[in-house]
Amino acid sequence: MAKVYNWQIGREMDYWYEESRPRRQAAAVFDTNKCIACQTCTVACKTTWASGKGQEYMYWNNVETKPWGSYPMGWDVNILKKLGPQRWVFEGDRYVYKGKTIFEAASPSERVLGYLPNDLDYAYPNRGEDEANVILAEDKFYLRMPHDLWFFYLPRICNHCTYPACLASCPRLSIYKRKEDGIVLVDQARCRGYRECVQACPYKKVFYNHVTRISEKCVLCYPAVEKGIWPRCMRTCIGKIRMFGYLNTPDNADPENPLDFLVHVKKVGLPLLPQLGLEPNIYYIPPIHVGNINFLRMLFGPGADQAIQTYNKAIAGRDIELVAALLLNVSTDRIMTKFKVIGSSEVAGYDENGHEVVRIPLKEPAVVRPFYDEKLQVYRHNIT
Amino acid sequence: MADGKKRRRAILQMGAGVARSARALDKVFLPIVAGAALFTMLAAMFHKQIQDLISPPKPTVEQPGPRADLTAYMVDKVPVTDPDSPMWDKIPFTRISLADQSVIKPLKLEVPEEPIKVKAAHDGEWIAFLLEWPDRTADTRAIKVAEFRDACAVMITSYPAPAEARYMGTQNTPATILHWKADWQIDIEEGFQDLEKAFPNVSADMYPLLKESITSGKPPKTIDIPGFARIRLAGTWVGNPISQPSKDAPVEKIIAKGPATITTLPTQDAVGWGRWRDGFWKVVLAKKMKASDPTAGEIDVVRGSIYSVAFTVWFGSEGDRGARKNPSMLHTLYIE
Repeated sequence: MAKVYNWQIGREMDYWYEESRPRRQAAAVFDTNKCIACQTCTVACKTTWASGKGQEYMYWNNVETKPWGSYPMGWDVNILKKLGPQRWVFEGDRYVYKGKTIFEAASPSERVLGYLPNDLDYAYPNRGEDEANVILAEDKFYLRMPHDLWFFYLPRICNHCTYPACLASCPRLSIYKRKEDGIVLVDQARCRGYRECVQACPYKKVFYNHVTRISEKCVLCYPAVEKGIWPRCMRTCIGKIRMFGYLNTPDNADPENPLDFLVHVKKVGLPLLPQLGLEPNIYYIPPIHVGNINFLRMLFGPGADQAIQTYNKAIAGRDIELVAALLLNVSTDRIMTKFKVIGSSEVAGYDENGHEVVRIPLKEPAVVRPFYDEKLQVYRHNIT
Repeated sequence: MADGKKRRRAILQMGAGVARSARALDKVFLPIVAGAALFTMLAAMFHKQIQDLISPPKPTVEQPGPRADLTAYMVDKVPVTDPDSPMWDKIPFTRISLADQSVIKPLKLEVPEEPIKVKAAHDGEWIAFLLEWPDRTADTRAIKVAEFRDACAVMITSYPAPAEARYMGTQNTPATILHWKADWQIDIEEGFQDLEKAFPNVSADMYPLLKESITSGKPPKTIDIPGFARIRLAGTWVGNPISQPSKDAPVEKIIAKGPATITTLPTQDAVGWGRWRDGFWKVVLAKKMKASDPTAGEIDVVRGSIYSVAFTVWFGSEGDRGARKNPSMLHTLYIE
């Protein structure tokens, strides 16, 4: 195995291939605080890509309720249990992961530590939906922050990892990561349905098609992305939780790039299960109301505490720039590579050619109308 | 009266004489008859073995160099799709041991206890191999996520071949592979094994592009999905041979130039058939001796020549697929 650098775990690690980063990496930040699990993303993806015969069980995009939800059932618990103890240590200026990644923990006869789900594991995509961490006791319950009783929604797609386990595991070389945008694809003409990728992907985001008998996965709507347009699941998000764009490595972070700003500058966007070692490229703003910080550290790494503090500061109005960046979520379907706060009242987003593609006020304008409408001689129910 | 007595005595004496003669004859003939019956019975029981003993298939061309591990015997007509043909009984088998796959990860380190039996024959036009191996289960489906098919393959390449040619050929030593898949055979035998075979209670509201075709709440048969709607079956749409619902033969003809390079050849004229009975697979795989895709590297099989061959078996119940398999070493094959 080759030695590659994974900035998310703060160290070098073993990987099947040499480090080969794309020219730019498509990435997204999902704000879990705003997700309402409406599943519009799920349906947008399903109707676009996964509605053929043989794909019935597939959700390239799914939204599960944490802590109890998971699709396929127990995907996270299963791989974490197999991986064994995971320990992070703060060294110098960063956290370093001291446990093993799924590449390092693989048995000598395998490339990746993994397991193959069975069809029943996929049969309950809504398992655990809206179930809180514990049952509400008959004692008095006081609502306080963070909540003692909590759940939150976790929208998931393929992470288009920098070190994809699916790609590493394929003995047929049917999976490739595009140089131009880092999107990971399964070559439908080349795949022979070995399902090594299904077994290896810890996020279980590669699926076996029952009818074509080969594997498929999220394509990040590459035909749209090639035209500078957001993927379907992202631009249909009615909760406006998603920000799509291109992410640089921390050393090359551009503070004007909304993705770099959220992930590298403000560090509110955190990877999902970074300890697995794949350097996933879908980032999550952790939920601020969850009473069990250890659960969030397990899911999003040791940056969870800091991310929550920074986010809280922003929503308290003490970080206008971060508010501005978050307001750009789903404000346009054009890919933005730069953003700027205009004055202190507006934020604008720019595409890669420098054209302004969106400008929105930081404070939503509101008109207050009188309670009684004299012209119509009626009382209004809603005056704003 | 006295004459009458005399005549009777004479008749009696004559009768006794005849009886004595008959007893003497019995002593000679009865063992002969019994012996003949016994011989006929034994001959009927072991006629195949006796026939082999009397007239074994003889090579028509003397083998050059050392004796080959396996000979493809010349016969009148090779039963290319019949593993049960009596013709195969005339061909002697060779035991070939299967090894682990310990080179390309993921590895398969378990090794089958018993070697496979291989027979080879040709008729000048077709060359066929009969593989027989024990397998407790017939795994003929690959529909569910964790279902894997039984399969076997014959790899033919030139002789002498470098040792690494065992791993599906090399750049300079392309390997022609015949790959039989149990699920493909059932797809031909019983019709395409559709979603409903694994999930009989499946129901559907609609599939895009096929809205009108779903009236009963049941999905349309994949085989009936019209061409324009197959864009929703990505593998089928792009022509992946694994994804085609209709198949002509259970054997795929493949060219390979090393690990991860197998490519389906443009002319799919390999044939074969398998039969699982009482815990044994018996599979015949055949190709035309004259390569139909020579420019793609397919090998010509010529009488009197020696080739390098290897055999591989995949046990579906053990999760075998791709690199998880039991290949043999490289053996020599002489074409009679």
